[in-house]
Amino acid sequence: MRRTYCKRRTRLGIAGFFEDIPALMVVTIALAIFLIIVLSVYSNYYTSQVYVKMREDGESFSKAVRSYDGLKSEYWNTAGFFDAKKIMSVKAENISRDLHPAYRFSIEIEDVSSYPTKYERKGDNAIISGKEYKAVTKVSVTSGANILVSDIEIHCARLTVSIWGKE
Amino acid sequence: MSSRRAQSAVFDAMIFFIFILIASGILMVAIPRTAQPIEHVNRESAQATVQSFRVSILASTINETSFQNSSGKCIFRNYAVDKLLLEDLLARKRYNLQSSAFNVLEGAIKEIADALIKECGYKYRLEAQIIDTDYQIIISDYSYLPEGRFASMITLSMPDGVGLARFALYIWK
Repeated sequence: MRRTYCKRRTRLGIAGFFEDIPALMVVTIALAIFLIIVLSVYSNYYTSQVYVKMREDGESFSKAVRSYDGLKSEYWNTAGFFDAKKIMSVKAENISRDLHPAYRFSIEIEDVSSYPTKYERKGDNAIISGKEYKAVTKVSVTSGANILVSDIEIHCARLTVSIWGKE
Repeated sequence: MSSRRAQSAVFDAMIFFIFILIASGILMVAIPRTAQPIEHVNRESAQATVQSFRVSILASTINETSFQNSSGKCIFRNYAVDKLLLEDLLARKRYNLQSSAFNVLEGAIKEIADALIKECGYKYRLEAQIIDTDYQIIISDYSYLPEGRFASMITLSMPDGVGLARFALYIWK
């Protein structure tokens, strides 16, 4: 019987370079896993930071709207107490000019009182600064507000301020 | 002996693989912690929201509501909710009336609170109580206060000048 053996005594296996392929595959898989995890972690981090920043901007814009003279009642002069007549006549351009928001915005004021006559801006009648994009982050801030119709008639209302897309 | 190098390469690759897995795990745990947590922002936002809801409900007026006492029907027109709740508490204290006597009045307040708060996806409980007494009003669909709720409170003087009443609004998801 004829015996087979390597002609040269090297540290390479019988199959030479091909014996390194399994090791190469393990390393490639490890690097791919690492890359995917790095990208996923960065993406989550970036998204959450964008959301946090927009949320803070949304909160501060909502505060500004609540104290905006173009909406606020002169009789009560308190943030969140809006004048019924001002609500019906305020324009998005005036708010943009006076408050300089960094984003496009929509402001909805919904009269939730039990009074039969409502003073509100919602739906198609909302105060909107520009067209709404569907594929961008949008932040909405909701708060309670009041609508002063007269010194004895105060309606309960919900204010929803939404921001999206840079101006 | 001739295949020792190949086996050693696989072993090294496995060690590398384990290190990469550990590094990935550390990344997944450490990076989100360094980021500003969304929960913190949401908590601050919810606290501001409950405050604004409480002010809005208590300051708003109701066109017409009433309650039944021993001498007849007390009708209130354009009364603010905080004043109505104080009248409710006072009537309970003076005449020791049953809760059912205030169904219409408290129902009108609940209607406003439902429209304001429930529509935003929050559950709520509005409480009014004469401090250090058992006279209490609870307007809510829930008999409990869960963990993780947000609260806003205010204390007002009773209309008869005797004692204080505390109003509290709790909201939770």
